[in-house]
Amino acid sequence: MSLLELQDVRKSFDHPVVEGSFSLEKGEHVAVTGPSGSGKSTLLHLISGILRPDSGKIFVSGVEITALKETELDQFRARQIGYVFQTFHLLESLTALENVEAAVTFAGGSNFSKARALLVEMGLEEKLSSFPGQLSVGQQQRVAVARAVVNHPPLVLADEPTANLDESRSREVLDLLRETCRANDASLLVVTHDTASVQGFDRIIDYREHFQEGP
Amino acid sequence: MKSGSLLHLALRSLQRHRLANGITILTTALAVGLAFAVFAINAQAQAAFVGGGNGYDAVLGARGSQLQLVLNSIFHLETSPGNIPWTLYEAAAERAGVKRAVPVAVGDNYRGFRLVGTTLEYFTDPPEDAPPWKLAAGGRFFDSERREAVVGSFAARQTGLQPGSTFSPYHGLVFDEDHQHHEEYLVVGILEPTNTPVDRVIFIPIEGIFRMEGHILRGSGETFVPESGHPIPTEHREVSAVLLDLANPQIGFSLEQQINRQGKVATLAFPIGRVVAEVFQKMGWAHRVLALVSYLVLVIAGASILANLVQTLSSRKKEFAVLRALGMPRKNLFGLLVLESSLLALLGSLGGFLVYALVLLAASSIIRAQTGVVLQVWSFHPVFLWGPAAMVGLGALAGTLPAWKAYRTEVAGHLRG
Repeated sequence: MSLLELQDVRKSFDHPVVEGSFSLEKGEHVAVTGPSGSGKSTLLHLISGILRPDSGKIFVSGVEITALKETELDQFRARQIGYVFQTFHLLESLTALENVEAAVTFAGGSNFSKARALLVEMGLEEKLSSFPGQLSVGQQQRVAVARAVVNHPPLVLADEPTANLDESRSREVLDLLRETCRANDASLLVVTHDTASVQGFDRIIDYREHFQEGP
Repeated sequence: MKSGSLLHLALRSLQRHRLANGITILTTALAVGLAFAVFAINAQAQAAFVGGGNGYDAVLGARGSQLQLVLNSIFHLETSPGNIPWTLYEAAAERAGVKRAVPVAVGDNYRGFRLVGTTLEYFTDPPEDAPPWKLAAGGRFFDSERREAVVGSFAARQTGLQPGSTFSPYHGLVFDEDHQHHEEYLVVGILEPTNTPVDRVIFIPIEGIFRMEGHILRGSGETFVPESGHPIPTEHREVSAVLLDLANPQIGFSLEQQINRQGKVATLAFPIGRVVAEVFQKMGWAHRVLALVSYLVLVIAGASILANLVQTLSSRKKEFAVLRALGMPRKNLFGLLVLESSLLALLGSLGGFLVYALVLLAASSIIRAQTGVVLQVWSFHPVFLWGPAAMVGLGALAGTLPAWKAYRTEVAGHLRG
């Protein structure tokens, strides 16, 4: 079985937003592209269990997450899925290090040394005690990536990680994400409206073609 | 502390919104401090006054109010209800079951501090359960045959009197510099602080009060003016009150029956604690009103915690959504908000101890200056336990509404943008 599998998943609000099947292999890096507002974020919310589909099944690492209870899903998400949010969404009241350590706690872990090591590895040794407001955009990106991968999840989702960034900064973020996922043997699914920045991914999928008009 | 634990997240959140939270904590501290003060000051004042008899059980004095008699002779407040003949003192002292009888006479002051004329036995033979009288270094008790004085610690500090000082008393219980006596008294001793009304008193031999210039004795019912160098006949002597130390309470009840119900000349205030306690009982409604006010203020503090959290809710919805997306269960998010509100209440309660200490120091200073009674700032009162517990409970309750809103935060919508 693939690491991620969507089977006839359908999610509608006032109109169908996500409709179709999809799979992602272990270690595979896939980009889903499409214009803003097309429903790409909803796709990630479904995969991470933040939203439940109207119909269909979703499997992650062989577990049918659509059958899990909410509390089981919370725990599963914390341990099995890394999430890089649009505009990073670091917790403003926590320092850079605490943001990453909090992800360890939510996953039920207590070994914080890897959080520190990861940030040091990313060149943030001097910024461990800085709050997000004291970090540059580039530093925030690295903290967000560290938070997503600190628990070594088999699946990393990234929602518009290059939004509002210039070309070189976009490339920098995606390279960091891909390198980190490669190092952890994690699968990476990125949704973005920026087709230029995801060249070199294993697969690039057009969202509307695949999830709204059928593959 | 473990990063990402509820306590860690709650403390960090309080730190982030430190201005709003600081104001809420201050409001809560004032409310809790007020509750502490209302309950503790009342209890301490009651304990200090009810137990302020200095070991004596009863007071014999002129016909009239028992309370006025006690306030005048024990607490050295109020005016004297009048005098009784010396023969009543002698009769009381000789009665079986009366272990000690000490006469006191008042009528003069020095710069507002009351002069109390008494016998040397007041100091040398106090009741067994009375605190021992101690003199500051270099002092002694007065010689009953001389114009000598022993000064209470507070009065000494306020007037500057010290062993070797001399002073001339003023007539009356209220200081009026136009009515100074010519007699000069020598200070021979300063009492160590007793934290009782005695600290505000200047003691002189009772003979001194009798013989003070302008004083007229009416112990026999006729006017008698003592002459220097001549003894004062017993029948002319009179005293303001007689302090009685009784062998057992039955003696007191028997005396009360005889003096208050059958006699018409004198009044017996017995037991002293009961007489004072009646005042607090009569004033109980005032305490109940204050208690009600303090309960309301605690509720208002709880409401301010609620307002504070509700105000920040809209700006924190993205934070809640991120926490949920990172795997924090809804119930933990609910717990986080309740914990934050409880912490606000707890920190406010801790601040309440500081507010209480400041209020009580001020109140204690005023009460001591007015009465000589010293309140124990750190004396335990149950309100120190149930006050913070009630406040934390209120805080937790106040947190449930914002916690419920956080619990129901729609995650996906707040993660966009």
